[in-house]
Amino acid sequence: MTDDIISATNLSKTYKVYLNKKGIIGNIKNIFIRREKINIAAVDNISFIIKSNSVTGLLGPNGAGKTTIIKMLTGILSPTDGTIKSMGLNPFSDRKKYVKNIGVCLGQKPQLWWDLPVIESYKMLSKIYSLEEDSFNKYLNYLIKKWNLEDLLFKPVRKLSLGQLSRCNLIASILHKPKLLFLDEPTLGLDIYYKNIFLEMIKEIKKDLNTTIILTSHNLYEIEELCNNIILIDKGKIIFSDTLQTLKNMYEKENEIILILSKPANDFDGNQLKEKYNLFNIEKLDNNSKIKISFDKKKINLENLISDLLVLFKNNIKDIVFSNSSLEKIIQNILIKDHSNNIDR
Amino acid sequence: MIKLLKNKLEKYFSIIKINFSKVLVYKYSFLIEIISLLFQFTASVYIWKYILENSPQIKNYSVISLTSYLLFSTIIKAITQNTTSIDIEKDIRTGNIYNFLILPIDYIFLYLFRDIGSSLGRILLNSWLIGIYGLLFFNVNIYYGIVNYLLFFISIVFSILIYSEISILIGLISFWTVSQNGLRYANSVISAFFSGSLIPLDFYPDLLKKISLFLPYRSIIYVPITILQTNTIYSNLFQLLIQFLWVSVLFFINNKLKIKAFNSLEIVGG
Amino acid sequence: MIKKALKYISLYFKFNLLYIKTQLMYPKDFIIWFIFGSFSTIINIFFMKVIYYNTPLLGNWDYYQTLMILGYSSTSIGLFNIFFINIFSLGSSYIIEGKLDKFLIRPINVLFQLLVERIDLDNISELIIGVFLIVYSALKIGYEINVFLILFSIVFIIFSVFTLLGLFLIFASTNFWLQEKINFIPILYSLFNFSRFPITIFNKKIKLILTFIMPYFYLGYYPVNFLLKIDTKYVYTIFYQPILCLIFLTIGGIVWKIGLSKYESTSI
Repeated sequence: MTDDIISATNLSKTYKVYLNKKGIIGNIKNIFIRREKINIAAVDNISFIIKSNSVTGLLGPNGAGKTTIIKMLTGILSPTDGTIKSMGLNPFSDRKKYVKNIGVCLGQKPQLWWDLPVIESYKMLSKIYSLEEDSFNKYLNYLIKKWNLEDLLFKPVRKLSLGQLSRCNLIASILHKPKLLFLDEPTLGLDIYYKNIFLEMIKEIKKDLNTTIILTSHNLYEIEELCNNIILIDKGKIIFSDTLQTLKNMYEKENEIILILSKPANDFDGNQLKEKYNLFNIEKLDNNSKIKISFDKKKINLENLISDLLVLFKNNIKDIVFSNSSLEKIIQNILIKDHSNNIDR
Repeated sequence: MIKLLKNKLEKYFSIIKINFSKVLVYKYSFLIEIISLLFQFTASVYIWKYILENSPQIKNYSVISLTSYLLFSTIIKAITQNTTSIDIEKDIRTGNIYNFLILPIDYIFLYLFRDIGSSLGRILLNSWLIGIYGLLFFNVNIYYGIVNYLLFFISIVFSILIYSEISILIGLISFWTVSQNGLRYANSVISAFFSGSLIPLDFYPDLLKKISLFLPYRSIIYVPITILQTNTIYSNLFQLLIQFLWVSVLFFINNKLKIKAFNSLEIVGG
Repeated sequence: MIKKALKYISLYFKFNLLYIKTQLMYPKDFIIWFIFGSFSTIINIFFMKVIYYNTPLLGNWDYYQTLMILGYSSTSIGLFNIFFINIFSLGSSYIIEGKLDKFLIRPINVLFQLLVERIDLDNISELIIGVFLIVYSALKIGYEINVFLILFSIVFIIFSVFTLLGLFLIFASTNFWLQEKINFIPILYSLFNFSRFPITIFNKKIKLILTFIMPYFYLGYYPVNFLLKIDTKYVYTIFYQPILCLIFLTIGGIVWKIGLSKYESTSI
């Protein structure tokens, strides 16, 4: 039985923006005439629940409000409206107390002191979080051994490469064994090798500490690997909030089969097949040497389709590629649908 | 042939224009810069006013002419400020300088015209503010002859060029030195001392006066103001010639350095 | 409460020691910086020499007496630049780039973290030359260097440094509202030009402003005037300083707090 570690109700964050006139005359006008004020809702009346021990991915286009939400959940930013209850506290008003139990790993703003060796940053953090010396040392040694950070410990942070810096930064954010961990685009800019190591680290940390993790990322592979829940945000509103599996089930519609032929099928007309199976699309590509078939896996008899194809293109099939709807496509479709809904409004 | 020249001129003219309008955009930070300079000016005026009032007309300066000197010194300082050394250093450090090899623009001319553009902007926007401050709160004399002002403006152009070229020189030298800020800092301090920006070089002890003759710094502030304030045409023209010589010498040195730097870049590959 | 104060003090020492240790690991850079850092103070000394080359007295002050003012001023400014230099970066980088966020995430005071984040040993030359000037000029004047002088100097230099902290805090905090538009720090820095000379050469308005509104005259003139008793009218003005220090620190702290809460509500 998992309880709710974070619950947000009717959360809003509105900014007042002054409209500036352009040009030289405009600039002069700006100084003397009162400028027009408009309200922009970065986060618009949202409510959600994060369950303890879960890994939640916060997704959405740039400017959707993800960072604003993270800032409000970490106590950095005060909400305009609504309430947040996290681990029984109000992140903003109980900040000093609240912060002792959360870890924050911001991709672009490392926690470590620029000129000091990594180990000294860790020691400083242990003092800042008032960690008991023996257990801190034990835990730190365990982490260092586990992730092979011995060589990096005595290097000044400014001399680390991005991959090294990200790993050390992640370690820094969990030294105090937080119950709640926020990761804001942590793998941005990392190469494939380090991205994978980072993912492994996060998985292990979750296992070790039973932390609840909230993650924002544009990297959908990451999201798929780590998250059980997804919250999808667009223009300050939540468009989807449920488990990853539900997302895939609800929206996984488009599947593809691509046939790569030995000889071009110039005479082939797919309309009959399309009508028979109610396919989304059949098209010929690459000078008729490829056939791409799009359909909804759940709505057709896949076995029949495949046997029909094998008959139609007998002795001509060089290769077959099956692809299921990617998470990226699913999310794109949701966003497009949401935009078109907005136009109607 | 003429078209080529015209293209080149257009290129550099657009650089001037961009940097001129940059001054408009950063108007507040320039304002702060001016206020800082005005504080320095005020402190200096009080010090030297006191000194001169207790021994007037020493070294050919009265309170009024000295205050005027300090005022024009502040104006020239305000006009010539640039971030060129820092920018060139950054170019070299980040390897950005490599990109300039590819552009059809001469690296030195790029920064030279950039400084000309921003200096023009500063002349238009900032210099008169300083002048007004001086006129309002102090006894200054700005009424010098037309010929003096004419020669003064030519001299100012040379000042801007010399200051810019020194900045470029310092920036280019950073290609070979390890320490980055030190040289620039040392230069700004030596420049402040030997350019006559704090007080006319006439007030210095003989040894320092002699040293200043061999450095280009005096041509930045001391020479233009002297041209403005004295009426001897031949010595003024001679000073202009010396300025022109420094412009040429520095340009020549910078070019040599630039070629050396670019050559070693091509060998090492950045 | 006391436990908290002790925690902060121990953090502060630990951090400073670490920083000094790290900077000493690269002695070559440090020496270069030491030499270049002393240039501005040396130029100030030369400028003083040029002034006195042209006159025997400034106000009622002779060369060595004014040198002592320069000594106190350089010492205070040097100390301030070493320990509190990070306040210069508040407007230009911490606010605009959102770097304050990483302070808000930790369970200790944000201002403390900002000031502790960086100390700048490059200015140690300013400090050392300043102290040297005080001792040198005292010897030349024939002023006895005793325990009283040392204690007095330490106490009032510390007051100077903290008064500057309060003053800079007030103006640096304005960047919470003004952001990158206006940065007052260069102006504050330029006012140091007034702190090296006896105040009797300035007019009444300047004397009032730089004594009570922007307390720069306390950096050099008032302490030395108390010790040497040259201008009898201002001998005891130095004793206003502790009060001013408290006032500026308080106002600075208040403006900072208000600014920080604005930062937290608009998340620049």
